Amino acid sequence: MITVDDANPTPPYEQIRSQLALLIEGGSLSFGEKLPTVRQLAADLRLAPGTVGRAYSELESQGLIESKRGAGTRVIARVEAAPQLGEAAALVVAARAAGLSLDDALRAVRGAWGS
Amino acid sequence: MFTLLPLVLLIVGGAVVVLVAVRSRSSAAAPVVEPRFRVDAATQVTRTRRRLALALGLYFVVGGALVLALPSEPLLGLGQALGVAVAAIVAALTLAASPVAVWPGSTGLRTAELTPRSGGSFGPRWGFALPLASAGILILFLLVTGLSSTTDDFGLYRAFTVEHGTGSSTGSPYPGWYYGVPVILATIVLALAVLLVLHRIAAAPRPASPELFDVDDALRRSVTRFVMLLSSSALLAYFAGVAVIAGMVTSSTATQWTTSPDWQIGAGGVGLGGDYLPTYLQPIYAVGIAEVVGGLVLFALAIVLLVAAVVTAALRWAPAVVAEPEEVHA
Repeated sequence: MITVDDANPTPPYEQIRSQLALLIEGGSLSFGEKLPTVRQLAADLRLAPGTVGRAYSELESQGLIESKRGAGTRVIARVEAAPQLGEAAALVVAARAAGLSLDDALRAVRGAWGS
Repeated sequence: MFTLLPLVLLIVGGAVVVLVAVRSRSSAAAPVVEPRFRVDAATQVTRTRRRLALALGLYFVVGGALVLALPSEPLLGLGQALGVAVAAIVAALTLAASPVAVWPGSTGLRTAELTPRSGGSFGPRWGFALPLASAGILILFLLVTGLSSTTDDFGLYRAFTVEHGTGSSTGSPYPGWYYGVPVILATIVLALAVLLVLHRIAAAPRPASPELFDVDDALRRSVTRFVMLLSSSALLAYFAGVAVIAGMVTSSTATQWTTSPDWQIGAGGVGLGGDYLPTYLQPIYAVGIAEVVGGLVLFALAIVLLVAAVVTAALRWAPAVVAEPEEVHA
């Protein structure tokens, strides 16, 4: 899952791009995995399709995903990441979905690390 | 060959719908939500149930008006042949206008899943494949009855003729091209309308909060189940009507009545008389009887699916609510 927060000063397209990039580079989204259509993601996030389209375009130019007419959008990056990195990426996305700030999340990680 | 193929198609069609009926049992459980989302969830459940009730009401009103109230004479029963299909198309298009309630938007934090949704995401694969196969069998059946049909006194392909040794017998109304072509077109339009509803169910936006995804899933599954049950029931109902009419005309046309000479004792004494005895032209007569029996089985299955659709629309489930953590600790 990914989130968009209106309170975040980062533009929505960049919030989408950075989270998807994190999930792909962390291995949570693997090679060949199909992503939702621009329309679906835009409808679910209550954003204009152009906003999601811009995020997808930037991910394409980074070589992380590929969009083909009729075949949809798929992950094309082959990332050989340690499984723990994928879990960490998922943790970051989950923390953002729960509305935690970076400081809150780091505090929680430090707490768990110390124990 | 044209007389045996409808029988084969009926048997295959019957097997298909038995599978649909057996496997369409509900396994939906009430989704669990947190108390703060209870009002939102309950509101959406009520709105969705109202939409299903509206579609179901229109199905009965339009179907009843076309099948029962429309005079059959001007169109020679064509309105009756198309009534159920048209009613199902109207119900499907009503749902397509707004298949699932739109969740209120959030101006703060919005969450989206990364799983692509499609028309087939909210029901089992066989739930879509079997009605589609049934529609294909119906179309094949109508092509066969069309090819085996002959013209009536008005020059319309709505009669069935059996040649025998001394002449021929003709029966009508038979589902030839006059009825077959409109019914085939209605079946294609119904399939497209159902695909449109399924697409709209998938394309509707998710709730902004992931805590409501389970309720949203349950609503989408419920509407998908309703649409598939209602459209399958309608398909089988008019398939049944076509099969029964075809069977009755086929069997009656294949029955020859001949006089058997015999001595009879009457009021005026003993004289030469006779009885009218039927002679059945086989295997055409047997095919006709099988079509009638198969049609009645299809009609019974259509009723079962219609009852299941009504139950789906009327089912009073409400989202179960989980206790807040402090309530658990208390």
